[in-house]
Amino acid sequence: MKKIFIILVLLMLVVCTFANLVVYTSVDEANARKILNAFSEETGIKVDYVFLSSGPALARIEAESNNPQADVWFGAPMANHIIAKDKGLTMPYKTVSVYGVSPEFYDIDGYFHPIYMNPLGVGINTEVLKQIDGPMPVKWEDLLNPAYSMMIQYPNPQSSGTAYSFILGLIEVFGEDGAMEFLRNLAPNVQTYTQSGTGPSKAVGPGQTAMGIQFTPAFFQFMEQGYPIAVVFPEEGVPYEIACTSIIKGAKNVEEAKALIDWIVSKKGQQQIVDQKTYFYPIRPDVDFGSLQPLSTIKLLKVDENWAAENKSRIVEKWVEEVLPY
Amino acid sequence: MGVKSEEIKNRTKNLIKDPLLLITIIVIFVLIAIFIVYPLLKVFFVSLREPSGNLSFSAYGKSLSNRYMLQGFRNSLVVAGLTAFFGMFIGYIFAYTINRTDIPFKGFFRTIAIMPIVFPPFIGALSIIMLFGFNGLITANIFGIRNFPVYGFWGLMIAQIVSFFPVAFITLDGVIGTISPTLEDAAFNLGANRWQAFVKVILPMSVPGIASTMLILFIESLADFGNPLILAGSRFPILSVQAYLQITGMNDTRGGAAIAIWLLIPSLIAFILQKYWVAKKKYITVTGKPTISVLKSVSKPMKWFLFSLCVIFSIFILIIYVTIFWGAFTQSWGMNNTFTLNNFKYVFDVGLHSIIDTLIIALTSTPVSALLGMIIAFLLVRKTFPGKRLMEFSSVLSFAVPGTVIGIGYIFAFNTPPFLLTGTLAILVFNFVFRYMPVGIQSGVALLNQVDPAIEEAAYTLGADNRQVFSKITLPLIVPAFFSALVFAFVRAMTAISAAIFLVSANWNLITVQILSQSDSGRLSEACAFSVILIVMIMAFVFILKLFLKNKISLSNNNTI
Repeated sequence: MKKIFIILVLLMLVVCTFANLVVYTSVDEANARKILNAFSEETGIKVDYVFLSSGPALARIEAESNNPQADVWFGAPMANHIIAKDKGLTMPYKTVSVYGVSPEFYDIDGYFHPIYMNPLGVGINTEVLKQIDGPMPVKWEDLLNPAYSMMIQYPNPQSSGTAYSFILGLIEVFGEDGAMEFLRNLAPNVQTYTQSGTGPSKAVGPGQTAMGIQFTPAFFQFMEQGYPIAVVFPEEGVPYEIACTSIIKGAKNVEEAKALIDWIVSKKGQQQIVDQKTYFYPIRPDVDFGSLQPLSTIKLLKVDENWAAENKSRIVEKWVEEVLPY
Repeated sequence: MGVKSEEIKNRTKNLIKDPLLLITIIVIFVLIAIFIVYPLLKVFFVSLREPSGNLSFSAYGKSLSNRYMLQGFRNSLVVAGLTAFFGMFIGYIFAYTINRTDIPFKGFFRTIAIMPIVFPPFIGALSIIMLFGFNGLITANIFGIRNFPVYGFWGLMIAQIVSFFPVAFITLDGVIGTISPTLEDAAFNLGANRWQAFVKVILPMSVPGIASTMLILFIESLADFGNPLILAGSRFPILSVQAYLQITGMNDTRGGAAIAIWLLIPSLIAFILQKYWVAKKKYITVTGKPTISVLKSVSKPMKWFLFSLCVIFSIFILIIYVTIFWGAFTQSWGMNNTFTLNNFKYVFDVGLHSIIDTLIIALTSTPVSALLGMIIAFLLVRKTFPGKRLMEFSSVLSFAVPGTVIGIGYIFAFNTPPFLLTGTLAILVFNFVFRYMPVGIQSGVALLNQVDPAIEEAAYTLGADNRQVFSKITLPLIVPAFFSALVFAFVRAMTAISAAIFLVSANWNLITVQILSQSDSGRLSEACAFSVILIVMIMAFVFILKLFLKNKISLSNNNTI
């Protein structure tokens, strides 16, 4: 009995000294696995990770701040990392890998670093589109076509950052009042406002609705699996999200965490984003994009993150008042 | 006055005379304080603390000040009330038909009625959309309806009734099974017809069971999160989802906690009402006297009417599961029906670790939860001790609170010494034990109220002590309740998501978190495959448990489990 106890204690000590890098990943499990495995293979650093979508991850990092359980928060849109920075939950690290990355993609103080980007688009189930005899849209305006009545889903901005990005993009295109008017006119075509940002794709894939508006990787994933899905990037332009990563303040494996940041921002790491078939867009222009629709053919709308953060509650309330009841 | 203090003195004296009982009571109180009350107090404290550090109730007023939240509050109550009633109703029909008629395929109906207890989070709700949506199997392919309002009230009601009625069935099955048919014989002998026998004998005797199942269903529906997240949509707000979104979408833990505590109020009122109502209605049916009788409670036409109701409902449930299996074994759910096993290959490749973790966690927490539940039920029904009401009340608290809040509360409470538990197996196990124990307590109490204390008194008279009476007399008598507590705790440990999502760690992960992650990233078929594995594991567990307990069920002669 005593022996077993001693062995157990020794084992625990061994485990403690060779602790792996612990990562909370808001990148979905399968893709996180691909990316982090590639990292482990190249550097020999072992990674343990838990999938937590961005909201729960932030809530949890905050609740654990007196005794952090993870070293790195991997994934989740930049806005969440800005909140984490403002709340003092993360620590700065300036990586040399950022040379060659466009400056709006990272934090000048080094609190967060880009992993990849996703444009927002309209995912369309072509079979359902045939069933309802609808034309293929090319512009945002086209979505107002009565042929799509009750056949479009997009997320609710109260709960989803994706939806807020969508509205911000529309504001860039139509102005604030124009965007609200557009969404109000769109309301008769909306089947439901989903609670989660990836909700629409779950109905579009199996043909329970014709179109969903959200960030596009899930749609590409459906395409790969053989679902009849097409993705349209409306020609007025689309917003995009940048998934970021931060080192959590109080991390126990800081050196390994820094190695991960160095790697993911570097050309090598970014090439893996494409090579591992994550369907994410790399944030460096100097990598091979493979089979992805080249970014040059998609009009990207730049969003002022500071304005976005300051006006969030006002815009969301406006949406609740002027769009939701219709 | 003098009499009362005398009585308290006597009770305390009795306790001191029986150290084992005293220690048990103290240990249970300590556990409840640490794992139920303390985390909730932490959350409550968070909801009071303003950013400036002052304490105030302002978050409570604010969280219900707008029309949208009020609407959510009303929706939650309406849905919970209807779910409680219809879930109980369907569960009662199943339990009554199986126990009081000689219909064929009883085993089949029993299995079907227990099956939806494994309603995989998210995928269960998605299968409802697959059946009732635009290209829904039932609405579009059978009835040609394209615009059934699956998002909102109807979809949510269907999902909740299906997923919660098994809880009602399991409890009511135990309750009706223990009502001796000789009582109906007596009624018939006294000249009652079948309807009178039912209304005057069976129905009143199952009232404690009905009340406690409705309470459980009401509370579960209020705290349900996976179904409304997918099915309710923003046009039909539901408060438990709003609490979650407030915390995870708006980074407003304080507001979310306040919403959750609002949500706790109707649950507690329901609990108190049920206590007050049931406390007056106690029936003793297990007396140790002979109970052999022939089933003749319903007429032939009635029997086949009940039979066809059960058949229709069973077919509906089967269709839901077929839909999930269909997703798991085909290339792309609803679009490409080529058979494939690749989804399972992927699941074992990516998720083997979490499958094993889930099993370990469920198998550790289940027996502890069920046994503790039975002990508490025994103490509550059979013993008098100071603080009994408090124990009863606090033990159900964690069940009534939305999981998100419990999850956050556990992190607040157990991330610092002396209770440093985050990232461990223990935090998940404790959470499951204390969160799902109340169901065991409820069904234990419902059953014990039917057991004549004379049986236990006889054992005491023959010289048995408390421990012997509990393990040799009480526990075997409440095996059905113990069984339902085991099944329930196991299933919930396997399918929990809302609290667990805050407690999983790199070392200990759960299948449900995988389902969420896979379906979020567009791998619906893989998420279905995970769900199928979940269903198969739980059904296997229930099956093994039944085999194991088969010979030990000695209650009513016609209980053919």
